[in-house]
Amino acid sequence: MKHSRGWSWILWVIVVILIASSCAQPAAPAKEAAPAKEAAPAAKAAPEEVELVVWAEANNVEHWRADGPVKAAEKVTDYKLKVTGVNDDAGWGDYKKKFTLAADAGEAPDIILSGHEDVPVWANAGYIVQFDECRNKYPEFNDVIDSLWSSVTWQGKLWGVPQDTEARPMFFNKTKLKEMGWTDEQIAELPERIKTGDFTLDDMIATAKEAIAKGVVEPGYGYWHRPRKGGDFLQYYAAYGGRLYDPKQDKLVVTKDALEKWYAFQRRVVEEGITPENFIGTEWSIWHDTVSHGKVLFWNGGIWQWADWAANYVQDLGGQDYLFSFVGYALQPSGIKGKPGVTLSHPLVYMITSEKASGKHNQDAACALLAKTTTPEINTLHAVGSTHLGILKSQAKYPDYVSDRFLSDTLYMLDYNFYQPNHVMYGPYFDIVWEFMVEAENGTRSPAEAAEAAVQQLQSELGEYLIVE
Amino acid sequence: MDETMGVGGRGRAILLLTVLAVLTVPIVVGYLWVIISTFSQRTYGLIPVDANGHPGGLTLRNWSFLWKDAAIWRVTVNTFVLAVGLTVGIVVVSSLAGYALSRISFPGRRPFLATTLVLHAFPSVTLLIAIYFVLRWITHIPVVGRGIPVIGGFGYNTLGGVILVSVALELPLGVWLMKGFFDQVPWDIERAALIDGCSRLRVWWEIMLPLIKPGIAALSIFSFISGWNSFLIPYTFMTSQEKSTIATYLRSLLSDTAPVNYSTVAAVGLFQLIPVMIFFLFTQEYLLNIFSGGVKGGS
Repeated sequence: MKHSRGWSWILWVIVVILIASSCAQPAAPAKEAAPAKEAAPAAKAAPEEVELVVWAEANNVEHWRADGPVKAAEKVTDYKLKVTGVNDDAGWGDYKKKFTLAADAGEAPDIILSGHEDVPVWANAGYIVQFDECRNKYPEFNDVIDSLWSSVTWQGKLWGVPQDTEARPMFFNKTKLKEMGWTDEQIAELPERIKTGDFTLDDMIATAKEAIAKGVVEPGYGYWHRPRKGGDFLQYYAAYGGRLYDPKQDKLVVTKDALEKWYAFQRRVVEEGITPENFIGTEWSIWHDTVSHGKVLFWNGGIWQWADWAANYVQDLGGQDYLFSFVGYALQPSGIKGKPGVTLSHPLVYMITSEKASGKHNQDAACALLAKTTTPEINTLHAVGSTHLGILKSQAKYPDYVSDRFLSDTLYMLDYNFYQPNHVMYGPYFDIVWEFMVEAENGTRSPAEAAEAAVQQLQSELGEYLIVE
Repeated sequence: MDETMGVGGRGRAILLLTVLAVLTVPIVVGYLWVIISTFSQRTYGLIPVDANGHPGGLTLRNWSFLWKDAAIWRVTVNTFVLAVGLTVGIVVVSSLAGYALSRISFPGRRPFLATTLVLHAFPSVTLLIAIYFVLRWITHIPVVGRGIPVIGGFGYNTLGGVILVSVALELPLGVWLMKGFFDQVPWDIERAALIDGCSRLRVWWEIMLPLIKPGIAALSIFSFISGWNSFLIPYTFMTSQEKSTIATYLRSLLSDTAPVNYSTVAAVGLFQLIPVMIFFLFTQEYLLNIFSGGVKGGS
């Protein structure tokens, strides 16, 4: 018994010392999070080395997202930089969760790459710093396509710089259309017809049904949308005239009529037999493999997938040449005759983390690094390597960019694009419209019921942040 | 056994073994494919083929991460520290708690056991935020938070912090397992030691633990595998690449949007299996005795 009492006392003393020491002393800053000395400008004889960390969510063909800044560091003269780029492919959800916790702990990287929709949430939390001052400091930023700055604008201020953007075309199988009896001229005219609103979603469904009836494609292979959750589906909401955001009132908008028509479209493609039942949840690898091998007539994808298919799915069949031989691309058709097609762009943006989030005072050095990253030399490496659209005006004439046929062909789509809104409540908004869209497509509710329920839930959860029209 | 088994009994045994062998074939083939694919450009069934589909195409390319990517050795060391730390933590705490719950009657013993089981039912993903706040609090404790060699400490963004959290999440299973083993050891042995003047701690260490070696071996190997393969906790709570683990490395080879080179994944998976196999070899003697009881004649 003596022994056990002795142990108890020792344990209690340790616990009390730990608690007392943790309460009495101010939080000891983490070794890695210790404020670095103010980065010295180049004017001084020997600039002190500044260590910067860049996080990016990227797969193997998108590695320039983090490797671009590493390479750009060689061009920075204001500071002596040591840049560590981290390409993370754990998935967006885990990636953002990891960043959020790291930022809250004051151990975030100096630069974070993420979707522009994260700007309001992270700015509101104080994790990222305003970018206006940085933008005005370096002339490189004047080269960014003007309209792209709106994607990083929140409450009238800039919070980052675009890294890439893209279009999400409606891809079509030219070979299958020809097998249906379309002439080469008709196939070549399709993108223009979609652009002018002459070929609508109704026409697409009718064509896909015809292809199945003629045995050109298997049942369920007439039209494939994205298999997982994503903003792409909002293109059909927009195609029926739906609005997402009112910038004047800084409120989210739901257009009831367009919402119901969007949901009806999602259900109709299943009922007409051009999309498989319970399609949502299909593995990405199956989806990529099927569409890139020409088994589907129409599919909704993103231009960045082109590089993926060429490098990783059909390389042994000829890569891009094989794809060009049978794949066509156009805007997403409109749901309304005479209304132009649309596409969603989702710029990824570099954001500079605050001192609170990173525990370091390297914001100026991070700004200098991003200036040298935002150049045609660096950005084109990523754009061409991963088939993302460029973000710089000068890339329209930059030889390496211009020589890429696919990027040049799809550049016009940026004239018909829209963005998801930068609004702190957009996350819940999208979750709700997505959830009821899935119910409508799977037939759990009728499109009208799903739309009604979605509007009700939006009103109850978003309240004054929402306009219903 | 053969001497006592009749013709009918032998026939039944052969039939049973045949059925079992047939049922096992898919599993064996699966493992065989994994091994073959790591040395092949491609496979057609179990046959290695080259890029043109002709038999051949044997290559060491899928194993090149061992000499081309220095990160693999860093993450292996990190994972080893994590797995060993987790194993030691779970075995020590579980055996102490299991002994107390098995042998000492104290108020709240039954509710405690029930609660640990309920806590074990929570998926770790639902506890991430709560765990984060605990680790952040520990980070503020001098030395303990961030000042311990090798494991860094027990705070956020340290290997020790991940070990601590993982131990906590695995403890319910360990405590129940250990309690079960202690329950099977007859009271008489312990009572004799106590009468002879042994303290409870000495009884636990010198009398009881040697009798439940199979249990400790089983718990050790489960804990080691759990630590060796864990992804979510290390990925979420260790931000620096220098501290990442082999499961995170393996995950980086799998992508939602880009195709996966499954031959390389299989090679890394096999590499990941090696320490577990070694650990199993060292503990199998005890593991195979798991059903024989703690003592001769024990129930």
